[in-house]
Amino acid sequence: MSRRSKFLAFLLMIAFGVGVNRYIALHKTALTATATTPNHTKAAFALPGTIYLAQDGKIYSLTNGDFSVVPLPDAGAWMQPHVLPDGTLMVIARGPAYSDLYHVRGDGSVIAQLTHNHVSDKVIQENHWVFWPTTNADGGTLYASYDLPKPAYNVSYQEDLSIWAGQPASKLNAVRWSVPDPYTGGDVQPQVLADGSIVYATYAIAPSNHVVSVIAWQKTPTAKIVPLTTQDDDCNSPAVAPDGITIAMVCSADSQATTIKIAHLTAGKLDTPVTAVSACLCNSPAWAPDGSGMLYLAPGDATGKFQMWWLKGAGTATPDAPKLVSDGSVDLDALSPPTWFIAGAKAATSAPS
Amino acid sequence: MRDQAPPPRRRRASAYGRGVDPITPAPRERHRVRTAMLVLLGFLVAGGLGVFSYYATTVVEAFGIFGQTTTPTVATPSGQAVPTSAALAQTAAPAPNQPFTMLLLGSDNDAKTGGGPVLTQSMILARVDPVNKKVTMLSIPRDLYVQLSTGQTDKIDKAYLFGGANAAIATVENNFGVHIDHYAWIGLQGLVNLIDKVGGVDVVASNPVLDDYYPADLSGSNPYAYERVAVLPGAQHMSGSEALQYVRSRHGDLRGDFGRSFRQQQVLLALRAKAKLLGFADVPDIAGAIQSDFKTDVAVTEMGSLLPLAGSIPLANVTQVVLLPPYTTATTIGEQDVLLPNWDLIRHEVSQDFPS
Repeated sequence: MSRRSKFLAFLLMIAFGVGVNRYIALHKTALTATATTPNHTKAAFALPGTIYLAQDGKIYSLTNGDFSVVPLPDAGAWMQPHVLPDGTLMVIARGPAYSDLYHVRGDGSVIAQLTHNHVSDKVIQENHWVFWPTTNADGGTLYASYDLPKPAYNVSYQEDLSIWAGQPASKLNAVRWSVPDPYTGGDVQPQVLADGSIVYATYAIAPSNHVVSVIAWQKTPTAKIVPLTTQDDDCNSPAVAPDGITIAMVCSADSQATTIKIAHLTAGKLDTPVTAVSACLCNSPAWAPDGSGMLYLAPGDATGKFQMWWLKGAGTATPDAPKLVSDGSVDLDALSPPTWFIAGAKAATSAPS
Repeated sequence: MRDQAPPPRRRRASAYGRGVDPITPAPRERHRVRTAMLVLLGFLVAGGLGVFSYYATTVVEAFGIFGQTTTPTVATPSGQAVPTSAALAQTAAPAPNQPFTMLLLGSDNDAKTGGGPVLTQSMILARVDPVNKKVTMLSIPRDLYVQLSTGQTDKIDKAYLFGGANAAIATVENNFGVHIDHYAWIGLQGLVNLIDKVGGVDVVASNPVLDDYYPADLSGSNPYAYERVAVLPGAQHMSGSEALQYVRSRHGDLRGDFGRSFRQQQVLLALRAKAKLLGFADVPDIAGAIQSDFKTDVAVTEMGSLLPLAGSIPLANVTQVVLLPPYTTATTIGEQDVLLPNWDLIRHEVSQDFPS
């Protein structure tokens, strides 16, 4: 073997060793792969109008299959957008110890900061949380979950969310709608029906000593709540369809899997729910403005990154199979329901009887 | 029978035109074979070095993490430490495929302790039945007031503080009447890193977990400071720090430590779901992430078989037990809020869920 051949063989051995090392490295699972930001992806298909959703503290719009960042100012991690009939948005900016509600335009410019919950950096317990903004059909009344009232610093540990309402132009915390079960986390995810009544998820400690959720219906701020689901169902995330009586909800029966169920609110109660999607990690259902289907968020594969799915014909006798809208590499904020704007879209609306 | 004579050897012409023995290669041929063997060996060594360089750090870290030795002992009235009866009764490791028990410990290894001894904020006794693919998880409340193996009567979370894993194991063995085959201890930062390294966990958060007095010991410079936590409910993909907030927060929960136990079991099951997706190539990253924040007496070789086992057990076969009243009664002793155990009920439950 010539000296040159030996040298060549030596180089090949080194290359082989490096190759083996890299080969093993290539077989690492893709669990930790960083999520792609939606604006670097394309939707699998186009849906009409504009859909707003959140990922990693930013709000994205989806129009004609293209995602774009909504260039909001640096006020915290943006989440839970809710589109108003005029196309503007209510959106939450979450800081480290507080969250605030903003009214913004689709181009990211701020119309108004509606809450000022950053009260103190020194006594952080004086700050407040606000989540899940929504409005009634004309956008004139704003509803949200708010951690008011709460005890003064060092008095007690109690911290629960209640449903509050107000005019967007004034204080959100004008009218308190709900009184939560203490130390459960409280009442969340309000949705407004055509007659001005609201449904929301309320948490309670079940006889099993687990905290479970019930969909509550409440006609006025002072009215007693009507439970629409049972503690065994453990349902939350209600989404009222444009018809005003169809409600999608996420039920987990106190387990680590969820089911999206759809039922109709008639004669003061829900009829037998139909299962729309079962055995999933689904969250945040949201109806199309014309009621033709429903969006929801759930992982697309074992990495657990949340994707947006479209269920055409949800709630009908013959729904289509769910279709993946996002491209699988994004990781959408599962706690921010998509919100959908189609200019002039209007569905037949009825008030619950 | 007469031995047959071997057939005459045929001779063949060599390159040099001389006849050679075909069984004994010519020197040049021998040289070629030797060269080929050396080249092959070279490639094998190079490949081996490639594998070694990938896993080298893991092997070094594994010596510090895995295979910790334990000898659970209990203090006698004279102050002598003797092995627990459970340890004496069963000193051999369980045979392959036999059910085994494992004590999972989670600690505040935070800045408050300055790196010194720590309490266990979480104790979960698990029994794994590999053949029937069943798991039972019993959350032991940290405030359970028991006779510690180190001699004192105190909250069970102090066993680890006073005597490390040995004392924690011995205390559980003595009080619960169950033998513990293995233990694993993880610190706060280790849990955060572990969850991040597996790409987060998917959890259906049971309720809004709000806590205005959550310790900011990992996120700030003052270990006694607080931070506000709001983990929102529903199915979600949690990062390590979000999952830690979910399992650690207790102030906003009427059930206190019990509520936290439920949530800890949820995240443990979510981690188990991720474990079944991991491959051997992921081991260095994970070992690197948890290094000083994880200890176990499970050997590295056993760990290889435990990971696939964790993933093979269906969720429906996991039984979760939390020692709510009447198993325990809340009271105050001295200035401490403690839980008094009802040992008759607890040991009956344990004898059913953790048969020897």
